Amino acid sequence: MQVESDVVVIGGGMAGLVAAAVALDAGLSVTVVTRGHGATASSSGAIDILGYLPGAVLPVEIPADGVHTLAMFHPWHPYTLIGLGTTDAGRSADASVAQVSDAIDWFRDRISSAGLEISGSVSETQWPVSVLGTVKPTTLLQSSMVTGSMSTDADATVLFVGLRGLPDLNPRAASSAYSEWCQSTGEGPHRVVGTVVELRSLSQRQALSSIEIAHHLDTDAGRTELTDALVPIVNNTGATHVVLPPVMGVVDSHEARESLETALGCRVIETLGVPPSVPGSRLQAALERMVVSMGGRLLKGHTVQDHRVTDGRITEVTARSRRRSVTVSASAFVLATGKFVGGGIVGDETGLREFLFGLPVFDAQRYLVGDERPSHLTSVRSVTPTGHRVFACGVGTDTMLRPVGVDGDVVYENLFCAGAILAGYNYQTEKSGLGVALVTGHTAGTYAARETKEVM
Amino acid sequence: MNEYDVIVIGGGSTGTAVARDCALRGLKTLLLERDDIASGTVGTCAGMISSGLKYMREPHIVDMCSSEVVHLRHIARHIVMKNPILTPLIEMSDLSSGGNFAEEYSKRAAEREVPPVMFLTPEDALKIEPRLSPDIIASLYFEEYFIDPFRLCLLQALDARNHGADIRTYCEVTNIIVGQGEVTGVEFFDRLSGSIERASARIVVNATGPWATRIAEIAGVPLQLRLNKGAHVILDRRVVNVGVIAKAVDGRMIYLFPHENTVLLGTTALDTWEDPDNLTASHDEIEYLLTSMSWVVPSVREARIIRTMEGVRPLVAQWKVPEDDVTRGYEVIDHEKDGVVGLYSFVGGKLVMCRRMAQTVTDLICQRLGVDSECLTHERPLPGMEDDVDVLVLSRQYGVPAQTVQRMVARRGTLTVRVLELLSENPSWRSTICACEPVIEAELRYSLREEFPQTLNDLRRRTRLGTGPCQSTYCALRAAPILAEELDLSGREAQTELLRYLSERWKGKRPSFRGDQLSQEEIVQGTYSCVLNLDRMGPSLESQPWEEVE
Ligand SMILES: Cc1cc2nc3c(=O)[nH]c(=O)nc-3n(C[C@H](O)[C@H](O)[C@H](O)COP(=O)(O)OP(=O)(O)OC[C@H]3O[C@@H](n4cnc5c(N)ncnc54)[C@H](O)[C@@H]3O)c2cc1C
Ligand SMILES: Cc1cc2nc3c(=O)[nH]c(=O)nc-3n(C[C@H](O)[C@H](O)[C@H](O)COP(=O)(O)OP(=O)(O)OC[C@H]3O[C@@H](n4cnc5c(N)ncnc54)[C@H](O)[C@@H]3O)c2cc1C
Repeated sequence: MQVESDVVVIGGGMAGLVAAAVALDAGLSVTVVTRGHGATASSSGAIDILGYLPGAVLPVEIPADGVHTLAMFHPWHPYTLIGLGTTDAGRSADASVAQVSDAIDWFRDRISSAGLEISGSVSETQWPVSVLGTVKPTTLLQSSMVTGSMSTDADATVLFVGLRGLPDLNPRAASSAYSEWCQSTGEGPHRVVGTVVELRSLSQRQALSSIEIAHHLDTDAGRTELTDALVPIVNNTGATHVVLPPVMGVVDSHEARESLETALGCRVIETLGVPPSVPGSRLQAALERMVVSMGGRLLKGHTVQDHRVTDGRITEVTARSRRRSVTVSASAFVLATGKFVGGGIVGDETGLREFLFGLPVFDAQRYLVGDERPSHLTSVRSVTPTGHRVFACGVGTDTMLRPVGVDGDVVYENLFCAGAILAGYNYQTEKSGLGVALVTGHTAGTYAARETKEVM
Repeated sequence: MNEYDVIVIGGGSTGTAVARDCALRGLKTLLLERDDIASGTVGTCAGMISSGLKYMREPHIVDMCSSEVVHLRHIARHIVMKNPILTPLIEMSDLSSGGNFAEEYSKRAAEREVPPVMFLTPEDALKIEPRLSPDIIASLYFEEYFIDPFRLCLLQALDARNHGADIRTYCEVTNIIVGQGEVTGVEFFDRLSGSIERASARIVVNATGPWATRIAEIAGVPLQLRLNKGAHVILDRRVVNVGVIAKAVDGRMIYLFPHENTVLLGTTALDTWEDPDNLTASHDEIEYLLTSMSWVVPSVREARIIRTMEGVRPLVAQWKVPEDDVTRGYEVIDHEKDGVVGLYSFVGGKLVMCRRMAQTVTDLICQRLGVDSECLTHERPLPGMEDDVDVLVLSRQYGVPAQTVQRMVARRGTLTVRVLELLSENPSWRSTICACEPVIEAELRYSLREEFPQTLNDLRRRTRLGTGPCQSTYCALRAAPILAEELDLSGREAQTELLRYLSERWKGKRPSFRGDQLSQEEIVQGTYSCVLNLDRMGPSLESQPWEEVE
């Protein structure tokens, strides 16, 4: 099958779908070719812009300031590069902040049209709570995760709720971790309690998953069942905030939250998702809806395997699915195939490489690491504040996000990279994963649209 | 100070067998293990209780192993399984060695209830295992027994405890107290409480595997071992459904054994002077195994390597012969000859011989103590072996999937019922915590209450939690709160435990980190660092005094 499009986006995670939507916004025809779900669907569903500066101990309090500092001191970070792409070095940090901020404003609006309410801004770090009762600094939250006054109000009573048969959230462990954290900060609630409730109609199930419960809570019957079980406990404990596992509806957490809050008369908050993550899938689904509703063509289940190049420009890519082969030609391409989970970067005992175009792989300092054995790019301990070097490795680009070769020269004039495939940052320790994907996706989409228009 | 007849140092296969034998013979026994039961060499072994393909040159050892297999099946049938094995031959020269083996093997087949060795045509071999290389010219077929090494050690320890022994894990012996040429006791450091304690006994048994020379050193007696490192590679799927034994690039025999949802590829054998506490499989070892096995099973390289597992064999100190020629037998050293009466050390030996090794030393001990009592360890069943268990009946009765019950039975035999009984009061403990294996919450609770684990890693040894293809990615965060609840840990302590466990798992994943494992590890880091923020907000992991600082 042969298809034509103005822009082709390879990879349908946060980065690719945002790039596609931006190009659609510019009035172009867009085809997204994507194999399946990548990291976006496994994510917690909270969009981190920047939680910690590399090497810093304290969290970033104002994401905009954090991005500004980052852009001053970390030349190869994607946030820095995109700033440099629009202005000279002297003002590029401000440009980075402006681009981050613009991307967020644009996104909040578009994703809301697709039915997902996102709240937060670059001027304030938010602290959602996890299933273990730990907290993390992030920027944009699905409205169901906003903790509001919970972490600052000393008079609050927080009730962690476990659902019988779902081992993801253990209320006793979560409440003790959360209350220890509150004590250490000296702010926040003095009363943190936990309880387990049973959803009767699911009690006969062998192994309950968060997805099944989320489906149940999409129904009126499910919500009623949960509130009936919770009302007496909320009344007894005087809970002002109820914290639930990440199960507040598959499609729409907003509605579930409002109906639970009305019935219980207190705030209801869901925790960050852990894989397999309901809020992550919710985000993924909303992104797909966004692109489709804007007229984009989404080819799911298609793996791009080949491409054709003429005069330093990509002219078409060929993707295969179980049943067919599709060749799509376009004027501009976006490469948003993610990192290892997505499948954009692969590695064996001889080193790392970019899967599709064989682009060289760099680390966060722009050293070539393509020939390094992956284990050499890791540290001895599993989870540490410095993380593993290998997760900051990826494709290197110029300031317009076009991939560069070992010599630093742009390889393809009309290919723009976005998201986790990029080198230069470790989203795990920095807390910047979906943020970089969003912002670079936004930038890459803009460049791809411009490129197309120039050609036209 | 607590007084005992016998103090056993080391909670591996040998030490737990000794403690059990002593306890069954009525001796007041203390077992001290510096880490967990089966945390040393035995925890890294393949669990093959073999008929001796490897030591055909030593017929008396083949005999001994054969009869030990019979005993182990008698006392612990529930943790023993029989697996078919193919040994594909690819060259004519492979045939002759195969013939000798077939003869030796078949002599003892009847007593072990296995068929004699069969020679198969390539077509028949490929019918049994289609993933073999089509280039083979023939194949041997035979059957071998395997035992769960973790459960064996634990059951021996539990049985010893049931017969009055004290079992103390996380207690490291730091001194052997000797007065007038006689052992009077030991001094040990309790790693959990941080205190130093003493216990007295007239007999001390050094069953510390590759660490035995260190114990000898602190007792001031000479002891030599030929330490030999062995590494395994574990793959994420059942690349083969029957065991495969084949010749490696250097002519040694290596194997590929399916185990639960994974396969075990091993092993290397290298003389080593490395500290047995800080082993890692080298790139050369990993490639040696993969390359060698790919000659007969070409698809081994397609699977994801989930981790390596390496240990040190405490071989008898025979020098100037290849490792393969060193005896697989064992010796009990009576250090009376070195001027210390009452101290015994083991050198050599294997998992399959542990009961026999214990019998030898316990006979000597009884003689010395003037106790007249017979060895019972080959007659008395280990816990859980009392009866057969009907998986389907239990599955129906307790509403737990048959597969889950089946796995539990393979660990616990009749004691499975005690786990399932917990469900009557706590129906929600049916929930699956580790989906790879699978392990349900009730089993973790039961283990935490009855089998004295102190850490998630201990729980892994007792239940196989987190040992499957995902290597704890999804279950660690679900199991940690359960451990915390049962052991009454604070939130912070539970986080420390979780971090320690992840680091422990990572140690084995790191040497072979490549391919699809990169993606698996990104999920680990995404979950525990990015989402749970344990990298930043979690406690910082201090090295323990006994750990090597990186
Ligand atoms: C467990 C986990 C939790 C996380 N939690 C958070 C969080 O809480 N907050 C946060 O901000 N970030 C989080 N992250 C990070 C974040 O999810 C990623 O950084 C982000 O989703 C990357 O988006 P992406 O679009 O670049 O890649 P992906 O989402 O991985 O998308 C890549 C896409 O490309 C497709 N693809 C790959 N190769 C091909 C090909 N050849 N042909 C066609 N399609 C192809 C894949 O199928 C996939 O759909 C988490 C990550 C993980 C793993
Ligand atoms: C790769 C490999 C594969 C093998 N495969 C097989 C097989 O398939 N079949 C088979 O029969 N055999 C096999 N073996 C051999 C077998 O595993 C060992 O011979 C046997 O398990 C050794 O058990 P052990 O109890 O003597 O030693 P270990 O299991 O090492 O136990 C010694 C214990 O002593 C403890 N300790 C050390 N110092 C102190 C101290 N100061 N205080 C307190 N405690 C201390 C250690 O923590 C350790 O737990 C294999 C070995 C290796 C390395």
